[in-house]
Parts: sequence; structure tokens; C-alpha cells
Amino acid sequence: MNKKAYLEISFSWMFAIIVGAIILFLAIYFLTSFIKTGQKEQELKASKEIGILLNPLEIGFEQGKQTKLTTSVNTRINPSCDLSGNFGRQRISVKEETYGKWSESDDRVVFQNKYVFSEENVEGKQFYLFSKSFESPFKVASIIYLFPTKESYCFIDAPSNIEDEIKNLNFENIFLEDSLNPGDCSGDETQVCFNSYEECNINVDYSEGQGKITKGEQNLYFYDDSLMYAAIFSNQETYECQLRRLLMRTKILTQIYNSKLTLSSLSDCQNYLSTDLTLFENKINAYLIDDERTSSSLEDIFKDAKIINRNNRYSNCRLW
Amino acid sequence: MINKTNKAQMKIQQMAFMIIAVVIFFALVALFMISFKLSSLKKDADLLNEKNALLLVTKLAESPEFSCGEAFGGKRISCIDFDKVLILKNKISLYSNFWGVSNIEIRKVNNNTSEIECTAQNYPDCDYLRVLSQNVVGSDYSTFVSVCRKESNNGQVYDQCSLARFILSYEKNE
Repeated sequence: MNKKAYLEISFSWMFAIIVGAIILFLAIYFLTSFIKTGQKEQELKASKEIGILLNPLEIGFEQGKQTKLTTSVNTRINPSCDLSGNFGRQRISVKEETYGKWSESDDRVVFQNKYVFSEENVEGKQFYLFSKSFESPFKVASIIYLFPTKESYCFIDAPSNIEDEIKNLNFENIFLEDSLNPGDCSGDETQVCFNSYEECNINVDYSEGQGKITKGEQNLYFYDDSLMYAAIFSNQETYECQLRRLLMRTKILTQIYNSKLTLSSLSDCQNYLSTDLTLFENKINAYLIDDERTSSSLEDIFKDAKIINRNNRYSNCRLW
Repeated sequence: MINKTNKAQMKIQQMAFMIIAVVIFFALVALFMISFKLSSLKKDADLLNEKNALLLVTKLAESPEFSCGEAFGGKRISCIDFDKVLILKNKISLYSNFWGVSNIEIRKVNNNTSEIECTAQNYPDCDYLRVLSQNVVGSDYSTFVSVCRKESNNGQVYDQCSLARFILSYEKNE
């Protein structure tokens, strides 16, 4: 009668519980990874779609174009750049906020023919995109600027051509002001001051379409209006990398135009651009092979580009 | 005693069969779900490729590798510089995957039934120029463009333009 209390579970029950637990664990594990993969897929699709939607921003002769991108949830777009291959690559990754948490995926979609200038992470539900043609000396690409609508800018004392362009583009978050006539700026915006001695968030030294942009400690050099906007709306890393990519494409286009001169159909043309183009290509090459060189050392190249463009304009057979 | 052991062995056998059946069932469900997911992924990829080609076809002619710019007097839109494209064809290996399409073709609009590929020597007496050709099965989108090039006759240089279809093909996941 010395019976000890014990739980009487038969072997079959024990077996069923263990196997059931394993099956349940596997089911939950696979379901979680399935959901994660689905989310990743959704974000990759969004990245690719954003890239594709940039196609209509490719412009011909018309000036800047503006468009608004709206997402259903709070979205973080991270356009980045690398220099691999012949043209470098534009990478776009998208993260979506679900239940107050940002997804962890870091997968990027890659494009070779896009040049997006923006801060490292742009966040929001609505974004402005606009594009301008980059020409040096011929059209190289349409470059795209991306910024969220919730971030406002105040352009103070902008030159008349920039002021007109901003007015025509009709942004809701870029305001204009000059020191004599206070405009719509409230003071909470990112201040972009042109040729000012005051210290603003962004200072632009602008002279005849070229100059320097100072953002805190960073100095970015620009040589036309398209690069000026690029420097305003992007960080230093993106700006320098995308500028290098643009010059990679310029180099290949220079080779194409130089080869075009050798075609028999152009043999009767009085065009003396060949030497200019070869020298121009060499200068770009010297810049591209030196990783240390930044936008500050490009003055010579852009000066040459202007001369080549003028020579092309006055030749009896234009190359572009 | 022997009877009890047989009964237990029988039960273990039943259990093992049951587990195998359950595992097979779940494996089949998983396979079905994966194949469903894969087919929808392929469909999505096709849709995105199609969208890319559709949006690109109207704008690619404005791309600096193709566009006439101001080379043929004044600003021209939807105009392809044939001289430039001939050079581009020789350098096309640099541009593989650049636009995200598989084939780019320029086909002259004429009544000819012949299929003569254009070269610098036979232009304009030819029918088509395949700029990028990746030999894949796919669908295409096209738009009408003017194709121009410089011609010379007795030292006189003039512009020769004609109407053509600019065709982009994208790869389809079968």
C-alpha cells in the first residue's frame, strides 16, 4: 500500500505531445518567415516601382518637371549610390512603418540609368520629385531630386532665374523671400541663403551659374543650376558619388561623339572638335581614377565643357 | 506478455504512420504555397518589366545616347540620331542592363518585305537596326520616331530623315 503519487501519462500521449509541439513550432517558424518574406517582397516591389516611376522624369528640351509621390503608409526611402561597373549604380531601398516599427530589411533595387539626389533617408507619406537636365557639354542625363513634402525650405535672396524656376515648379514646401521683402517663410524651414554673409542652414555662393554650397562643415562645389539643386537637396556622400557617376557617363558619351566624327557621312563637315573631345575625355579619366578628388577639383573640366559646347554650336555640322 | 508487447508495437507503428502522413500533408501544403508564391512573384516581375518598358519607350528617344539634340538644326523631339546609334551599337556591351530592357530595335516604316539590317554603308537602303539584342523571349512596346543622319553629296552636307518605329522588348518569365 506504499503507493507514490505520479502522473500517469501513457507513451502514446507523451509521443503525441512532443510531436505536436514540434509540428506547432515548425508551423509558427515557417509562418513568421513567410510573413517576413512577404514584407520584404512588398518593399522590394515598392523600390522597383519607384525606380520605374522615375522614367517619365527623363526630360528632353523642356525645363524642370515636378511630380508628387504618395504612399499609403509612412515610408523611408533610401537612395544610395555605388561606383561599380561602367556607369555606377543607383540603389533604392524602401522601408515601411508597420505598428510603429520600421522593417529591418536592407534589400535594394539597382538601376544604372537613374541619378537621384537626396538626403540619406527621406521619410514621410508624400515626396516631391523633380528633374533637370545635366549638360556638360552635351546632355548627359536627367537628374532627379527627391525630398519629403513635410520638410520645408526657404530660399532667401535667390537669383531671379532660380526664383522663376521655383515659382514655375509650384512646390508647396519651398518658399521664397528676399532681404527687402519678407515672403511666406515662417522661420521653421531649412534656410537656403544665396550670397549672404549670415550663417544659414545652407549657404549658396552663386555666381553666373556656378559656385559653392556650405552645409555646416561640408563644402560642395557646383558648376551649373542642375548641380546646385543637387547639392542643396543631397548630402555630401551622395552628391560626390552621383557626380562621379555622371562623369562616368560623360566619358562614354564623349567617346561616342568622338567616334561619330570618324563616320564617312561627316567627313565633309568642318568640325574640329576631335582634339578637344580627346583632351576632355583624358581630363575626366584623370578625375575618375583618383578617388581622392572631389567636386572642388572639377572647375577645369566644366570650363572645357563650356568651350567645347561653344565650338560645337558654331561648327557647320553639330555633333549634338 | 507477448500479447502486450505486440499491442504496444502496433500502437507505435500506427503513430509512426500518422506522423509520416502529417509530415507529408504539411510538405504538400508548403510546396503548394511556395509554387503559388513563386508564380505570383513571376507575374509581378513581368508586370514591373512591362511597366518599365511602357514608360521607357516614350522617353528613351530623349536619352542622350539616342536623341538628335540640336544636331539637325533646331530642337527636335522624338528624333533619333542614326549616326550616334551606329556608334552606340559598337559600344553596346558597355550598356548591357543599362535601361532594364532586353532588346532595342529601330525599324523603318516602309512597304518593303525585305529584312536588311542597317549599317553605315547601306543606310537609308535598309529596314532595321537592332541596337541591343539579348535573344530572349519577350513582349514589346513601340513608338514612332524620326530617324536622322548626315549625308554628303559633292561636298554638300545635308540631313536625311525618315519615319521609324522604336521598339523595346522586355524579358518575360515563362
